[in-house]
Amino acid sequence: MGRKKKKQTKPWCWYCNREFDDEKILIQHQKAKHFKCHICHKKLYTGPGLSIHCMQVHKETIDKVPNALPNRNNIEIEIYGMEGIPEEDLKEHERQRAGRMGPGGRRQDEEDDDDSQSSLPGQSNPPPPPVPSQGPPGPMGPMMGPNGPMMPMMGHMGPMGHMPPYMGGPGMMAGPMGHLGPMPPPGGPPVNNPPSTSQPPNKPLFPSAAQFAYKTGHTTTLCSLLHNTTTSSQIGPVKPAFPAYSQANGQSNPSNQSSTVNSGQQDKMESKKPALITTVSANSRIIHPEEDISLEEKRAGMPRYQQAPRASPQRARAPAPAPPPQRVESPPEERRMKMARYNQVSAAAAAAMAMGGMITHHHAGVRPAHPGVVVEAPPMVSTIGPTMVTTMSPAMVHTGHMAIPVSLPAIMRPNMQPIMTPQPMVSAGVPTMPTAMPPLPLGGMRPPLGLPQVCWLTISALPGPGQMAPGLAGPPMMGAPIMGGPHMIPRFR
Amino acid sequence: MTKMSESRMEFRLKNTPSDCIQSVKFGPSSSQFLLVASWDKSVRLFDVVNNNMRLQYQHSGPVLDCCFQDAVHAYSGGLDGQLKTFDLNTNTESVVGAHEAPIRCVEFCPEVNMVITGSWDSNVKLWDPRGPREVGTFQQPSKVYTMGLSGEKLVVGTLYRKVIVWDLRNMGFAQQRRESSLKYQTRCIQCFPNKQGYVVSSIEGRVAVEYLDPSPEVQKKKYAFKCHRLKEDGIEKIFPVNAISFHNGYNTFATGGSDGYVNIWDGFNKKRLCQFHRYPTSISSLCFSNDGNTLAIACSFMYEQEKIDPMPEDCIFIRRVTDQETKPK
Repeated sequence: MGRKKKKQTKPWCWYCNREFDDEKILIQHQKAKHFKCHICHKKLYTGPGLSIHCMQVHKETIDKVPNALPNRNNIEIEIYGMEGIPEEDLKEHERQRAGRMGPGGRRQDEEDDDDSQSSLPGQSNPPPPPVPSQGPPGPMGPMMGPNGPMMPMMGHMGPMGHMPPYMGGPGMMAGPMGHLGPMPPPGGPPVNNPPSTSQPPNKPLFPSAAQFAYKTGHTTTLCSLLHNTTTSSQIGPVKPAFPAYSQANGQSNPSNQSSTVNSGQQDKMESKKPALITTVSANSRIIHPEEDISLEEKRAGMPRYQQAPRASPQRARAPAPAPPPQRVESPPEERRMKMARYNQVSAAAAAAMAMGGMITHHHAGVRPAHPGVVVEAPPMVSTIGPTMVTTMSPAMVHTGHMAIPVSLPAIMRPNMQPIMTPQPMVSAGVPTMPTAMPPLPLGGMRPPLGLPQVCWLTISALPGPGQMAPGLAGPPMMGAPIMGGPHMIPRFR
Repeated sequence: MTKMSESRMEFRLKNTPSDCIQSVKFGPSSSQFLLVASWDKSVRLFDVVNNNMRLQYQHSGPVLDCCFQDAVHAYSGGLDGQLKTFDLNTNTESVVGAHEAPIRCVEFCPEVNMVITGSWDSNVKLWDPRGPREVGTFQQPSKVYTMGLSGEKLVVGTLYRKVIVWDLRNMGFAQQRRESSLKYQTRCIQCFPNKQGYVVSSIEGRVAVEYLDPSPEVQKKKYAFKCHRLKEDGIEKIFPVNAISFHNGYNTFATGGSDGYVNIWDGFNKKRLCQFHRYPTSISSLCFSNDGNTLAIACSFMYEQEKIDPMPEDCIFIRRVTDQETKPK
């Protein structure tokens, strides 16, 4: 590839300032990003060529070069690869490149993370280093959202070293965010760019290697990696920049329904709430549940898998699930007890376990209810019948899942026998209706009275004690219903 | 569900599990036998040549992964946290040990002759099959979501996108601690058979090819690409890439996503070699046979979204693959 002579003057795209290893790749980039007809996707060779094509073939005028910086989108200028670039722009680019390399002192090709150079007069001038480089996790902080998903793509676009505070981010320059002229205030709504997590221009899968090349500047971090530093190493872009894990100054992506809650990986393990992933953005959607847990974990939390014996710290040695102890231990990831439709456990067994645990928790006086926990189906509000339905799934018993603190209450199946709402049950064994709301110790949340007690929601992945995802109202509280032998809800009889 | 036309090249296995198929694995030496782990708590052994199920055994909970040690012994683990071994000749099973939380991955490493399990209790355990017994527990930064094995190198992918590389011959310390270069939750990691690196996929329709050699020149070669995305009605739907499997001979790999497509890629030339027809539902697991002539494709709905109606059936397709589809050009 004749790199030798290009060591210092790598080809770069006049329209978007990105750098490339080779002129051929630069040209491919230009054809795909700047000279592509948005109507028929035909790739032309130059800006004027594109304009003429659109006029002649589609009868449409085009006044700006697509995906170009605001000051570089003149369609009349004929640029092909590195040819045709006006002198001043060439010089300016050289200057900036020198500026970048200077203070950095590093001879890496696209490394640059200097946030010291903020010479951006509001433009994305400095040729973006390929990747935000390990340099400043800090400044990168505010960049999230659009940056995140874009990172890998914009490998060589890199977030502008200077840009971090401006959320320049890698794609800003190049993509649809071309208009990022005035930097939004640092920490400001990084979101104001149409956060298209999907970069439309980068649709094709493997169109050109360069496009996806990752010139990450983690060379230096690798060395530290090898010494097994336990801090998160960065082979790859700096962490803050991802939508899912960004530490964004509390940014919540307005365009998304779910807010990115995550606060950095280190403490996440202990966190009780599952982090949420930004799954929806302007024109793309990730087909995945919002919680940042694996699909298998989510599935494991579903009611119908609850009855199965689950691994738990206590049970590590005992293969067979013992009849539920009063107290259910819960491994961190367990949650929710649910009635399982497979639950064949007789009420007795069930009753022993759990029920009551949560719900009845606070009712001291409550007699252990009969077996079976009552879980009520959402629509039913205390049909207090003589029999409690409840089959707490054996799983419940197992404890593993039920963390008393946590627990999403299991949901009773509607086809179960009459279900009593836990609440009513709770009150001294009298099937009073919801009026008496026993204080719910768990989680501290209490479902509003009026709630049709659906309560037992299976919320997957809530490790925390009774923490429910924002959307869930009461149920979490109920959570513990299943647990707890002694506190069984008196329920019927 | 549309009926897939069957042919000599591709057919559907009969007697497949009644719930989600989480993992399919071929044996190390033959492309005839396939182990299947499923959420219906069973581990089944199929003869794919004759299309019948030979054996099955149960766990007390959904099974998340299984593997062959050799033609006679199988290992499996799942939500019940127990590692079970099954002797295919004598048809006997036994519990080897357990984790404190569900076991997510089970692998066998012939180089060091160990069974390896990764669990949501954040531990990786090694087991000596001659016992069989546990020989070590190694803590990972977070819950283990996936493991890739190549020679004596074990690459563990965890929650929060951590990637840890271990040398199974020396487990005193982790050889490398890295972070996935993908910004979204890690879904699957598999290693190149030539041991140069690994491929990691995320829930966000993206796959990265990474190298193990930490030197800068080699690290420069790493890259990522988007895949398993569909544009419908102006919205781009991005699907998790659930499964990766390598062709041992060519070092090319297949990826399977929740979009129902299987793609075959040439990682070194950065090209896609082939895409098969769309399968009825999400691809949950893929496995190339050792000789690279057969690909087992497990399709099960993974609850990436709320239930869909009608619920697709869980099925396994066995496909004979040709050089045309798997060989680099």
